[in-house]
Amino acid sequence: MKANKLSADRSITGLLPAIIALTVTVLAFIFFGKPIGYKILAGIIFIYALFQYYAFSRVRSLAYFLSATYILSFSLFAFFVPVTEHGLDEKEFDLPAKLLTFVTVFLLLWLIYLLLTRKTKWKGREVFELAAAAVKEAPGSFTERPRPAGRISCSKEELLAYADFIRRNHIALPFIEMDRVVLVPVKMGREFSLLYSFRPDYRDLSWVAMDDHGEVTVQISKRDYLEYKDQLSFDQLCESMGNLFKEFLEMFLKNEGLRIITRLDSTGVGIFS
Amino acid sequence: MDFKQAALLGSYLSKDYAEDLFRLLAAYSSISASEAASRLDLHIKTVQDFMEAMFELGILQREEVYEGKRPYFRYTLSARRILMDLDLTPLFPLPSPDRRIQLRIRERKNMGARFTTARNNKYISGVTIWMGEGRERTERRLSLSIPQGSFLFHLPFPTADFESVEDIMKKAGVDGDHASEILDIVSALIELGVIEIQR
Repeated sequence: MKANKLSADRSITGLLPAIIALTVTVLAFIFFGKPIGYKILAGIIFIYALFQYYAFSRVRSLAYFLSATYILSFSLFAFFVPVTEHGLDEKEFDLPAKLLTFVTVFLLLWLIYLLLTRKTKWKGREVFELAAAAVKEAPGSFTERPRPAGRISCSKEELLAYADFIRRNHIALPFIEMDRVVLVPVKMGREFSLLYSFRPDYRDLSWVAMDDHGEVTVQISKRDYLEYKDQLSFDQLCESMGNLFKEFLEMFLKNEGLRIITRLDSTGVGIFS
Repeated sequence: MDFKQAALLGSYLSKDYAEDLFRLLAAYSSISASEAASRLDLHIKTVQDFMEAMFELGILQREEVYEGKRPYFRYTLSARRILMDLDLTPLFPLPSPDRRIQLRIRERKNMGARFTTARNNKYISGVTIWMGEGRERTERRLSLSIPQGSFLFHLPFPTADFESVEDIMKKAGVDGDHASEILDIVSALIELGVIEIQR
């Protein structure tokens, strides 16, 4: 299946941290010289690493752990590596510098592998594509309220395990509440407000909730709905979204989690979208 | 006493000069509005309205008198006790089956009504509707009871199939005891254009 229901993703939000770090570093190189510039770069990246470890504490996926460790390793490398006004002084690299170089490059290659195999990306876009696959057009059907989307039959433990699977595979971010689990599909570039804030609020976003009585409820935000190229039937879309997560749950309970990932990856969404 | 009479009586009894006027009426065998107004330092129209309202309610008697000038009324207190007995029975829904429960409804397209969900997201706690245009635009917010909120939570979306009020109540787990309040909110939302009926 090829992705074609959503409009193209041209957001640069995901690149902002890199752009900020690069801009500040270049300015530091110009005004303070390379040795100080490297230290400033190390400081910025160290802060990023802390944020990334915080995000890892929420997502608990290998990709986030590697990413945070890579950033930390890179910041230590930038801080401890010998630098002259001409740049890196490779001849002066001592054992810790060599070790940091090796670890950083190794983690970078590992991350590139994960990136190419789509393990680092948030799959919210794929979720929205799959949900919309069979939905027909119906102009004027949007309404800002949740929709009941049927029932599921599973134990609380199974539901929590499913939520954990969904989170570790970057399909959605779960919010565990007293009597239900709310799954918030996250699109690339939209993860920041959910991962890096102390009190993330999902209520105005799209979500699928599964409660202790087995009731499934779906809400699709206006922002997500408007990203579809066509005016899809909102009723069908919500139902389809609910069915998708119910289907994923069934697959998960049958130990067919891999099939969920394969289905999502088959939508043809780009690795940066 | 019907609701209108009770409202009239209530509104006049709540005036801060009502007790003083009744004291005057009790002290005088008969008194005109002009005499009472001058005695209590009130505007004559205020007292006239009060006396006429009490006359309509049968609490005062009045007599038209002529003293060489324009005729006027003199009022006499005809009761020593006012009893407010308001029968609310006519306001209750009829016990017979209400056919409105068979109405097939859904949310109207492009109404732009805003549904606020309760904190637990299991029912709608309020509906906000914007009426009018430009500077005349006003906001009307309806707060809902829990059965009404549960009902609206299951209201079919604008392009979904129509469903009967009865079926939606079943889906929402709202029992028949709440039918009258459900029908009330349905009627209000039909009037406000938020809900449409299958023709």
